[in-house]
Amino acid sequence: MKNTTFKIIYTNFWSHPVRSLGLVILTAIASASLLTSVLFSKSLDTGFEQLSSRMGADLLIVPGETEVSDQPVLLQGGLSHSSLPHEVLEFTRNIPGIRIASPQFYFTTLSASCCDEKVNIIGFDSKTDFTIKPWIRKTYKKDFLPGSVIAGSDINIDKSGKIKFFDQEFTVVGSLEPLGNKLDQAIFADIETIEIFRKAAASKGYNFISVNEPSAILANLEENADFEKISQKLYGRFDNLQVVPRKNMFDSVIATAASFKIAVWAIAGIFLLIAIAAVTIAFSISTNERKKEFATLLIIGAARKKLSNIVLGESLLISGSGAIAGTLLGTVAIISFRFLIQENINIPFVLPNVFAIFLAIVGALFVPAIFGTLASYRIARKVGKIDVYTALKEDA
Amino acid sequence: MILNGNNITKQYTRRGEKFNAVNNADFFAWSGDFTVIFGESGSGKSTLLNTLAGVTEPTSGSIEIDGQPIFALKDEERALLRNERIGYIPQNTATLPAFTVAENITLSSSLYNKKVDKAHIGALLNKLGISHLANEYPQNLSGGELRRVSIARALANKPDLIIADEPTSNLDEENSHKVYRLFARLARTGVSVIIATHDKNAFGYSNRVYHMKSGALIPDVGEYGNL
Ligand SMILES: Nc1ncnc2c1ncn2[C@@H]1O[C@H](COP(=O)(O)OP(=O)(O)O)[C@@H](O)[C@H]1O
Ligand SMILES: [Mg+2]
Repeated sequence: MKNTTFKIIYTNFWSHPVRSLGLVILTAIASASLLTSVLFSKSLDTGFEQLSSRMGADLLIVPGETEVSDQPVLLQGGLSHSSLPHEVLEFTRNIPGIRIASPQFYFTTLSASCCDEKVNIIGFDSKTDFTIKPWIRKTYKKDFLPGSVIAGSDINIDKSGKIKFFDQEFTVVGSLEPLGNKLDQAIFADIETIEIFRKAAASKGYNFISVNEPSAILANLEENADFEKISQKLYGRFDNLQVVPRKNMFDSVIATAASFKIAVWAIAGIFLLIAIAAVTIAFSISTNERKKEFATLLIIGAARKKLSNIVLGESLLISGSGAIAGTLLGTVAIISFRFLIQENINIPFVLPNVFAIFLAIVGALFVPAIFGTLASYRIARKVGKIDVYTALKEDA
Repeated sequence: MILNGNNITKQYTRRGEKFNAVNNADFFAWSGDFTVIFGESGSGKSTLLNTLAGVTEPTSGSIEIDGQPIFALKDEERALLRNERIGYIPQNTATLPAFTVAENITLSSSLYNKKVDKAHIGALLNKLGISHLANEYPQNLSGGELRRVSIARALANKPDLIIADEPTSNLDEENSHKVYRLFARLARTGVSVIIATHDKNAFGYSNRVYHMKSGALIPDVGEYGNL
């Protein structure tokens, strides 16, 4: 009984190969885009989580010319090279309501032994830092000794574990987990190491940094401290700086991420609807064309339920194989294009953990298969109620 | 086997008005009977046969096979009954176009995973003169050939009730007689054969005749009757 049902289903699939494969492809697209949207949103969330946990600062002080709103420098690792006057740090620390303030230094150098391209160097003060350390601590637990650096996940380190800038050797003591942004191509170092770096650069005639003039200051406030008052004080004293509250640091990232997510989900939804509509239309056409076959099967002894099952089986074959193909495709696509995505969307993008990926794959497999089959459920029921007399009478 | 229909009525609605395509028909057939239902087009023959074959439920009345009311059975049970005991040749031939002639004919066996009696099928194809078409696809067959495929398919499972709706409508005289002779031989082995037809040639083979007029079924007691 099963064999014949399968054979009917299978034979019918291949008796209209273009239609069947078209439906399979549509379902595959729906499935792939569903998977992509889940993984995409999840990746953004993960990237954002890592980012915000790292950026635990209440406020950020940056030089006046930095475009914080468009391109939150720090967050994106799109690094600025201007610096703050050296008094700012001391001044900030003395404002009532500031609990802690820590400087950071960003600069880029071409003179690296490791890399053909520019390397971003991010300096922090390990004694006061509260944003970079907690995150580095996940992979590197020891002290930040002078002369040692920590490499972003994309920095290639040779076997020696050394990296040279301006002919000065630095020891790479740790590598970081991926963040999904340009910080993956950065090198992190304590302020004392930055000083060594400065000297090495100076000995070659480059005087482009000073450990007294940070690129940014990150601060945390006391509870109940008034951000407005603090920023007024800073603005009253210095002309050429910006004070950015925590909220704004993330504004553009959140907005971009949200619109990306909406777009991606909308596309997946549209594809799913198209696939379901196509399956429904194609099935209602094909079952209508095949009324006589169903009537014939009924006459020779097929139960009405079997007729319905044949329709459901055909639908499952199509949406199921589409879902499998689409899921495979989607998985391969997102894994192989993730670097491209990271580069182009300029917001944190980190693949979620294996479990989340697994769930996404299961969803992408089952949702289109189930919806596709449900879409043909009504048609299957209708076929089950077929009237032999009228079905056979119609001219085909 | 005994086929017993009582007060069979099938009501349809045409242009908002109800009418009985089959009106209070009483029908009886016994093993070995060759029954002919004779009537004009539109008199209700096909509708009656559909109910007797267990594919259309009558609006009222009962149809019993060996005392079992067939529409009291569950759909699956009635399906199995159709498969094992009833060979129905509908007025309009239909096949499964993706299956070969041979596969179409053995479909009733394979539907229930039964072994195909190859000798029986071979003989059947021979008698119907379609052996050479076994591996063809239905689209390459003429109307008359398809009709014979439909007859072979109905006989494939050795039913003890054969219901044929104008089985010779697109056959020439010679082939029509072949079919009647085949049915008559089967009737002699105890199969109950019921055919609906316009073809008066059928009377020569029958032992029981009904006339159908506007849904009413009238047993023939005159010229052709043999009750
Ligand atoms: N499913 C149906 N719906 C509506 N009318 C039907 C249906 N089946 C049969 N009829 C009508 O019943 C009448 C009898 O038809 P039919 O049984 O085909 O007669 P015959 O086989 O004697 O030509 C016809 O008028 C036909 O249109
Ligand atoms: Mg008819």
